[in-house]
Amino acid sequence: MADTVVPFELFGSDYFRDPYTALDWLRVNSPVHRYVFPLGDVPMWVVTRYDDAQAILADTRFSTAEWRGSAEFHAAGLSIGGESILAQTIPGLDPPQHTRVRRCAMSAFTPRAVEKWREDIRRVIDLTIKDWEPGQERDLVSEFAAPIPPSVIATRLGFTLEGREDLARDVDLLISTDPAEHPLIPGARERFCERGRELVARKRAEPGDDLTSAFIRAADEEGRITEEELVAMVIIMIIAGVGTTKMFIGNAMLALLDHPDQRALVTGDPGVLGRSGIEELLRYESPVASVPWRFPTEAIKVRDVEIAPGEPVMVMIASANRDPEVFDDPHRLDLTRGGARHLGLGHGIHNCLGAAAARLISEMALATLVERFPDLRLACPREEIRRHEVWALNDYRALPVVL
Amino acid sequence: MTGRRLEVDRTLCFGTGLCSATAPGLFTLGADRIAVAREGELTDPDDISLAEEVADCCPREAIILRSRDAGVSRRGPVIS
Repeated sequence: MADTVVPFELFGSDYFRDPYTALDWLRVNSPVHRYVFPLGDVPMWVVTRYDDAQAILADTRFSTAEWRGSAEFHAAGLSIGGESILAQTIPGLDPPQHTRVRRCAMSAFTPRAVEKWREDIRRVIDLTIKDWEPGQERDLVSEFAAPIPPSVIATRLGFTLEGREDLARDVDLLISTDPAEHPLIPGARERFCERGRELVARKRAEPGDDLTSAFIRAADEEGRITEEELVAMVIIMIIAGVGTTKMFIGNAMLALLDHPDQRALVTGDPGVLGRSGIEELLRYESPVASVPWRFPTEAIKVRDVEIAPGEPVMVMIASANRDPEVFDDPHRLDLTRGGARHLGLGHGIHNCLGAAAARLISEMALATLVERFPDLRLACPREEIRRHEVWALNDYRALPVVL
Repeated sequence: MTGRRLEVDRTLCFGTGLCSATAPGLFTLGADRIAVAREGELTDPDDISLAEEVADCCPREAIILRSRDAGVSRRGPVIS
């Protein structure tokens, strides 16, 4: 299985046109696949079966802490957080630090807590589309999916979001593996840390009835998190707000446009989204094609392959979620599908903290589009809708439609 | 600290695997991929404090720690 020659270029342009054919091949022929990451020739592993993916995500010996990465990983400059506060964000922490920090934030993001966001979400969606009329041409990514989630999160954090486009550009830079962009990454990192520190300072001076103030109290009065963890918490909320939910709303709407029968189901009964539809859309085209690299803390055998400590492992959610051993007819979109849980929001200790918020925002956003614009259709040929070519993401840069 | 009763509300649990990954000694995922508590009764103070931490991290608020005498303690301090 190691060093298997594959009949396609993994993460090349053709791959992004149709990742599923390549992932299907790997899942059958090389489920724990040796891969050399082109930037810096870093030896890595690509895992594509559901059971292996779930087992790795459930095993805390597979760490997300980048400092545990191999020498080649660091020499290639692939660390997103580097030595900055970004390395202290929840997704990159190991227990027991992870448990302590997550415990501090979780109660704000449970389904029960997020239910109270409904009015804010409604207001943000309505404001976003207040001038929209049937027949207009709009880009559902830049004019709908991108602005809505960050505005909702900013409201909860207690500030108005300024410079969203600049932020989004910096998020892109952080995860960029384009050698030409690499010199720009430290700058993006520093701008994020600066913004996080500024917001904390501002809220510390003028606390309010909001999440940032609650996190500050948890740090200052209760001593539950450190100053660095506090700033990192605010930063990761902003990054998450700008990124994944945006991608999911775009992916989900495209999936509905590609499947008129499934869209008709939502038109007839918008409640199907909340019951099973959102889960199926998360399975079908999760914004996270691969969760962040896992780094074994010791030599660990996966199937018949031994993975050395520090060698980055790509756990391909996009493949696990289409594993025919777990999901019948996995490439079919079926909004009423039940059965096994998809891994679109992760699994194990790093499962998505903001899952309930992402579900509610995207459910309300999609239901609104389907309901208000029954004739909504693509404004360009389908083949012109292209994925952004980043190995870890399922991300479309534009989705032009006629309302 | 007196003993506590540890339960998972299996109607709320989604099987995210957070509890079983954080505290494999206290929780496991059943064949249906939904979490179960390994031991119903906790007496070791370290186990109890770990169970409290994990209960606060559960995204579904599905972990219940019950004192024998007092009522249900589902969560720690709430930030909302």
